[in-house]
Amino acid sequence: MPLKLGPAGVPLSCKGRTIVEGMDDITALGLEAMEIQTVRPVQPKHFDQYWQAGILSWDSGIEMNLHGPYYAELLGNRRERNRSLAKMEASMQAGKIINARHLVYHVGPYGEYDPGSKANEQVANIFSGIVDRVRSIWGEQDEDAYTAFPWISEQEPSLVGIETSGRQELWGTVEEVLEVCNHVEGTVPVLNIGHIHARGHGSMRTSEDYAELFDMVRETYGGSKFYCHFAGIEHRMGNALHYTQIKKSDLKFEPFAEFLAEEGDWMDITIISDSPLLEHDAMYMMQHYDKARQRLMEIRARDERRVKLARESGLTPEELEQLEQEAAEARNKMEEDPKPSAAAPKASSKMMSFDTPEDDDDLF
Amino acid sequence: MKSPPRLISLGEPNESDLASTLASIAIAMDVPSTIVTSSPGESFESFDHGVIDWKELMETAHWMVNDSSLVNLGQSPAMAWSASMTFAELEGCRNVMLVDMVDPPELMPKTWGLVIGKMRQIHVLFFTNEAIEFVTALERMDKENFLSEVREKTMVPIVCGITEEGRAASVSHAMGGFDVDIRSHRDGLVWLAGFLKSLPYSGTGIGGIREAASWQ
Repeated sequence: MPLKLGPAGVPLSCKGRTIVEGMDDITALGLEAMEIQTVRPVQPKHFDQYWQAGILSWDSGIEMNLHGPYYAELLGNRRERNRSLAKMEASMQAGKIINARHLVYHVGPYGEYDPGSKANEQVANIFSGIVDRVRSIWGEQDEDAYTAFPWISEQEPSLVGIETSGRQELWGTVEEVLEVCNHVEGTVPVLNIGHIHARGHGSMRTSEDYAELFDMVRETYGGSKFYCHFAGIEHRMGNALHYTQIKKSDLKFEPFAEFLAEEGDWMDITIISDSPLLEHDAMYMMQHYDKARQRLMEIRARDERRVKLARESGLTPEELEQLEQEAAEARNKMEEDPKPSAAAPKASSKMMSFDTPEDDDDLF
Repeated sequence: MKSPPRLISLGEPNESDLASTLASIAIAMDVPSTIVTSSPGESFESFDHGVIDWKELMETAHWMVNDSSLVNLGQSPAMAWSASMTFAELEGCRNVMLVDMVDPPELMPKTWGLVIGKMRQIHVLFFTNEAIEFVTALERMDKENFLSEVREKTMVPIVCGITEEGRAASVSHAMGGFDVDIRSHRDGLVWLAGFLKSLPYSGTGIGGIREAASWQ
């Protein structure tokens, strides 16, 4: 299963602070993805750095992604919407330069709308325009651009990711995001697991919860490519309060790792760590995924061995398992019981025995 | 028995920055505090930040205070600034970020951008009155709801700032927001030092935060 992990920003441990230096660190850590945070309006002076990062990503295969303004008001009044779109424009331009595979956006508060189809229609209309704009940005170039940006001719334009939200007053339940993504070609759901967990009052607890979520996405939206955010989160009353490191949160990564290892063969997934400990938690996730896979491989190897042994001894695997269980029980019983030959006094012997219960207390 | 929280500030050797000033005020309030800076005779712009043992410093600390302007003073302060917040996160120490105007003001968008990059690690975000004015204009936000909007957007647990030209402090938290009259304090930093001193002992919920903010 292709799984790519990476931090949301330049790694904290990176000595430099540029994106390219951050990418070097990501490679050294064995991670394969990165999400750039264009939280402030992108300025032209940043573009050179973005282009260098794009070239490096093209050469090294690190998946680059870009997060748009950290807040938007796409369902607000005309002024608010235009202000949000103006901030997004710069990130769309940067997405092309950096060879971003996903551009991630928030929608923001419900504003003048109630949750429901009207709000979803409005979001769909806006994102339809955003997808068109991204495609036109990727389409506008002269001959020289093909040399400077080789990915333009060989890669599809960035996909527009719509992120799930972590608060009740913000548009972006999983259902809403899926409905819009279903209607607007070129968009993908961005599953922020921390947000989903918070909005669901701590819903992501077991590997079955993850199976249910990804089955829902597969059935509603289709496809096998997923883009997720993961971080620890503090939440209250169905609202995310703030991000924490994974170890400090009630949102654990182990069940997700278990699900990915056991049932994620069909998935092509990118997980971005947006925890306060960016790359540390990305590595933590990688370790847990490796452990879960290792455990699964051990279980599978044991089952295969059982089938092989059963075939050799003319038994069915179930019969062999039954025999193994009986043998294990007998072994346990032997270990629990004191060894009668060594511990019990020989009744027939006339020699003096020191093996009396009182002796234990009289040792010293 | 309650013991006062320990506070660490990263600051300039001449203590001209807000973080150092806050630590000095905290010391005067009997809060054991430490100012981390360059060694005597060493240039702050290029000091050896690798020798700072953050882990040991933060063993008993409750607050790690940083001033946003330090990122513009050279590579070493910028790296120490970033490292201090990561170590604080790892060691369970809470990060306080003081956002003030920088000199020259043209550096303010870059500075604010760097602060945004660290938002997930910040527990208390404090704005001076001038910084509120500037960032409000930069982000094209409404001044009235600025603090609550910043909190909602960044999910920083407590966002506070000095409003009404120094007469009041405004505090925004996920469970509500309120204003506090701070005219009885010398200035906003004195109020903040008292707030940070009281916060660990004032109980949970918005009531506890209000109580800490209204210290006398």
